[in-house]
Amino acid sequence: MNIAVLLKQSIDVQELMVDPDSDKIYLEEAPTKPGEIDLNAVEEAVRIKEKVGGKATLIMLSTWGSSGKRKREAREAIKRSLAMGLDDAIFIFGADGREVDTYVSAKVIAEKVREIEANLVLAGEGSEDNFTGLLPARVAAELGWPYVAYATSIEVEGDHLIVTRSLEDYEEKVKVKLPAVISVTQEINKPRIPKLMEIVKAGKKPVKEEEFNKKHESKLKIKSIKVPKVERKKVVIEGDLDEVLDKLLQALKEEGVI
Amino acid sequence: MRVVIYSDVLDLAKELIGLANELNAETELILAGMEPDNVVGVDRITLYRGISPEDQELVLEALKQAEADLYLLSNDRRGRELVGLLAHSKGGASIVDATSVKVEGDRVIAERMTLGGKGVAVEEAKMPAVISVMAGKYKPPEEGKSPEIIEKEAPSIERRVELVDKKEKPKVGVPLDKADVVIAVGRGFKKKEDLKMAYELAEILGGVVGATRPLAADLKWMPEEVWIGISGVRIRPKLLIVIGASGQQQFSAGIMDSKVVVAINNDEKAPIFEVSDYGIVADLYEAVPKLIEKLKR
Amino acid sequence: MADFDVIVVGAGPAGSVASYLLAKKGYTVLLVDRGKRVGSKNMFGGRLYAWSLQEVFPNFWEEAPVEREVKKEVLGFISGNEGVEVSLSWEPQAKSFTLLRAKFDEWLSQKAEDAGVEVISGIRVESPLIEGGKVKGIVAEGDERLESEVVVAADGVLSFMAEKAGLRPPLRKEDFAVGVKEVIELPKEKIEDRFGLEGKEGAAQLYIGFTGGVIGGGFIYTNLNTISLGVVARIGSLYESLDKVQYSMWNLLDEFKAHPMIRKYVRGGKLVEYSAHLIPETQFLREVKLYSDGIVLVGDAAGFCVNYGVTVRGMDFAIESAKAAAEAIDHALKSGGATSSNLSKYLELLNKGMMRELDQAKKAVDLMENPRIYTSYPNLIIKLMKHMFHVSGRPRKSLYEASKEFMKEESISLFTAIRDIWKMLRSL
Ligand SMILES: Cc1cc2nc3c(=O)[nH]c(=O)nc-3n(C[C@H](O)[C@H](O)[C@H](O)COP(=O)(O)OP(=O)(O)OC[C@H]3O[C@@H](n4cnc5c(N)ncnc54)[C@H](O)[C@@H]3O)c2cc1C
Ligand SMILES: Cc1cc2nc3c(=O)[nH]c(=O)nc-3n(C[C@H](O)[C@H](O)[C@H](O)COP(=O)(O)OP(=O)(O)OC[C@H]3O[C@@H](n4cnc5c(N)ncnc54)[C@H](O)[C@@H]3O)c2cc1C
Ligand SMILES: Nc1ncnc2c1ncn2[C@@H]1O[C@H](COP(=O)(O)O)[C@@H](O)[C@H]1O
Repeated sequence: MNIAVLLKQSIDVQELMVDPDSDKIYLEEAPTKPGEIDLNAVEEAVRIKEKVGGKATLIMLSTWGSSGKRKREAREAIKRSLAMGLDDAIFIFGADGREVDTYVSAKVIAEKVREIEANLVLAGEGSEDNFTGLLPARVAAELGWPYVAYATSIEVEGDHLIVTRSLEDYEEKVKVKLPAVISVTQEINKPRIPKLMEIVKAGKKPVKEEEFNKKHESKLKIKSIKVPKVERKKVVIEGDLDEVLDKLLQALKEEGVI
Repeated sequence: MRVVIYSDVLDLAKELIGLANELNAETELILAGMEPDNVVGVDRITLYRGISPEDQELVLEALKQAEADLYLLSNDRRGRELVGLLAHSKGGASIVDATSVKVEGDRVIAERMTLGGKGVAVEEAKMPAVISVMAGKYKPPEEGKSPEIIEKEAPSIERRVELVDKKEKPKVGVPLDKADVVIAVGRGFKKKEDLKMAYELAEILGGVVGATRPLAADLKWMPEEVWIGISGVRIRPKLLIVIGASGQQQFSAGIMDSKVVVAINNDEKAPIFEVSDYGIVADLYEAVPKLIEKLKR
Repeated sequence: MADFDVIVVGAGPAGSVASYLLAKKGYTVLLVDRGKRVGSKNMFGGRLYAWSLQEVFPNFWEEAPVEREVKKEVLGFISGNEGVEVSLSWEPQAKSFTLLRAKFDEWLSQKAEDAGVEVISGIRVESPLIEGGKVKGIVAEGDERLESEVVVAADGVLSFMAEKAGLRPPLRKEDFAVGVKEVIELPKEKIEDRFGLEGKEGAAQLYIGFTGGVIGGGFIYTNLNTISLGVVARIGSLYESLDKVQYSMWNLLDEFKAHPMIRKYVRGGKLVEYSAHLIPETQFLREVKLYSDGIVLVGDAAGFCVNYGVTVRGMDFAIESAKAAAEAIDHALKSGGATSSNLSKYLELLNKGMMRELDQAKKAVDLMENPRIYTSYPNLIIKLMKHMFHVSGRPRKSLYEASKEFMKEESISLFTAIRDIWKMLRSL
């Protein structure tokens, strides 16, 4: 099996600051991190490789700018994924986030998938900051490969995969012919935490860094991002538990919700 | 302008018709393996009786064959899966989970949640475009033109995905997004049996129990339809009590429209307190039974 | 064979500089930090004195992410709702800069990485690896053992490395002061207007008199488009748990921020970051051993930090001690190994160098131990100023008479005042 794993360096939304008053979103200041679900894809690639052999390559297209800080964080994330057991990586940087919608990203990433002659692409169900699941679908369409989303288990059977996937009302088991693109959920596995020495060694695995070149026009434009306004009282009720609960019930009565 | 609508859930398809009517478009509804019960307000219905919704490749092919400026799909998992595939093969833009859709000339403008719920993006694209729309945002039309119905044979293409097995998931009944009172439970609960407390509390308050993703999807203590958040249900109850959940952004994005939020957590630094009206720093194993006791009195 | 020549634990200024220098000397160095990202959770008040880093990276401020060069010093006295500010605008010979640690520490660790250091973040070191009474390496999270010729403990004030290697006694709450700080965002022009600054000039402002007699005070440092504002107080011994201490510290900070003299600086600003941290007390340093077989302590881990009551100075000492440690380690490894006796060069170098400065700083601290500084003197100064500026058209007491009266009110005798002033002059 020759696997391409798609990993996006996402904005760490937990640490992202926003100001509802001015609609300011501190994107520049926010740290980035590899998407958690993307790491499930990495883990799954490593497990498949352990079972049936082969090679697994990470592909990352940076979409949040390429300042020194962003690049460092991305390289760090790549190193960790390599430490989990991937063989090598392709890191494409230099794209301005506003220039790359999923149409452009998919074109760029699919080209790399072809280049490394992968026959399986693994991605996350959704990226941590955008959570659309559009990218893997578009990569599949670009390659002309079948696409199955929301996988909770993947078994290899010759030139087919048996994929269990989770939908709202059903759990489906499908047989997919390779080559294929699969997106995984957070429940498919528990990503291993690499050891220190593995991370050190991963620093020596090959990482091909390439500059993004603008060959395609985005189909979608983000006109603006507003900050949703939710006013919360944020009172932490103090006192001993009895007192606290009495105060709470009093407050809920005043709010007219009980 | 032409709009093509598809969903594997008829009620969601009807909501999309409601939206299409606001856009004053010529509309076609495509149905796969479903009967068009009480569908009004659409110009044409194309029925594919020979396909069922799980035949993703065939549904996609049927959609590809239908020419349109705008494709509206439901935002359930089957719908979302199709958005990128269809958009890419049409060489068009794609937007998922839209909360509003407008058309201006040859452009479509949609809003959707982004950055884990910390932002609402206003996105614009030249048509053709494929958009999946969040459930509950548009009303199905109660009356309107009766559609012309056309029946088509399943397209013939080489199949590469074959359904081997299909199991229905257990269901709870009351939809979380319609409940007035929701008790949301998280990993602070040590074992499945302990959830009894939450159900008891819900019963007293006339509410339902929802959960964080790990509890439903990972530990499988509860049916999957009750997980709240960006990848689950978005709720808007009058009263929400969050117990033993840390309030990570992806969960909190699903509770923003709640009227009053109460949080019980033993870690005073838990981010849930930042998005709550009333916070109680306490062990849930002490606080919840006491709360139940007080409510019973 | 050992995995590395040197393993450095903690990528604060001490750890990054030590590993940088050792890598430059040709050693294989691993630098481990538990932070998700290097420096991301590190904090300090806001001002780095440049002298020690300048020797490692000449004119580092041209490249490093520093915010402003301090050219204005303000000392403020607070009493109730009133206050006095004394301000000095100058062209200091020895440079100092305001900065934000997250960016700065990341830059420093990048310097180390560029020099060939393996920098790994997000992994906690649990303890030194000890065999036969000697430190042989580290034990990292997940019980992973790594060996090295020598370990540098640069893990900050709480240094479990030092404690577990038996180099210092377990912590007591009396050994620490606590600092809390907020970073508040304001437009650049507003900062320059409010603080009377031009271009990249910065201000360092210290305030005493609002801590209810507890040794401590508040600080404001101006950054490019944020200000660092915080409170340091020696209240560890007053509470039974650290949580409680932190809680009351945040209250103190809120009071400070709301004071009429202070709130005009922060008005309209947006809180973008807050943090709390411990500060080692000087008396505690006296119980620390600086090295033993296979291990060397640097920076806060060694206690090289001075708490003047209101301000804290430790980054420059952390960097200076790292330089000495790197040199001593080089010497030891070239002389047959990192034995305690070969490492004694470290103390030798420190004694020749920064210890004098540190001792002097500590003397100043002894002076600042004087509780009168935090209540009586601020009150007195404010009363005197009020008296001077009070004009009602009626005759008033002479300044001399008034001061005698105010001193009595504050229960300071002339003798005590003279003694305090004398002590102050002697320690400067
Ligand atoms: C792209 C993406 C999408 C996601 N989508 C969702 C989503 O839609 N919904 C969702 O929920 N999650 C989602 N997640 C996962 C999410 O990030 C969190 O991991 C999850 O919400 C945490 O669940 P939790 O609060 O139950 O568990 P934890 O984070 O482990 O929190 C447990 C809490 O219980 C408290 N606690 C423990 N013991 C007690 C006690 N005795 N008494 C009181 N309190 C106690 C703890 O202090 C802690 O705060 C998503 C993640 C990603 C990456
Ligand atoms: C409120 C306050 C204000 C201050 N103001 C100033 C000031 O204005 N000017 C000044 O010069 N100094 C100031 N200081 C002091 C200064 O912050 C310290 O002296 C300085 O940071 C010491 O540097 P260090 O490298 O020794 O330790 P630190 O900067 O504390 O770095 C220690 C590093 O070790 C890591 N670490 C800890 N334990 C482990 C482990 N087990 N495994 C792996 N990594 C670990 C930490 O993540 C951290 O990165 C202030 C301090 C405080 C608290
Ligand atoms: N820029 C990118 N580089 C690499 N992989 C990506 C990128 N964007 C998205 N992906 C992959 O596609 C999945 C879905 O992302 P999204 O379509 O943004 O929700 C992610 O979980 C990643 O596996």
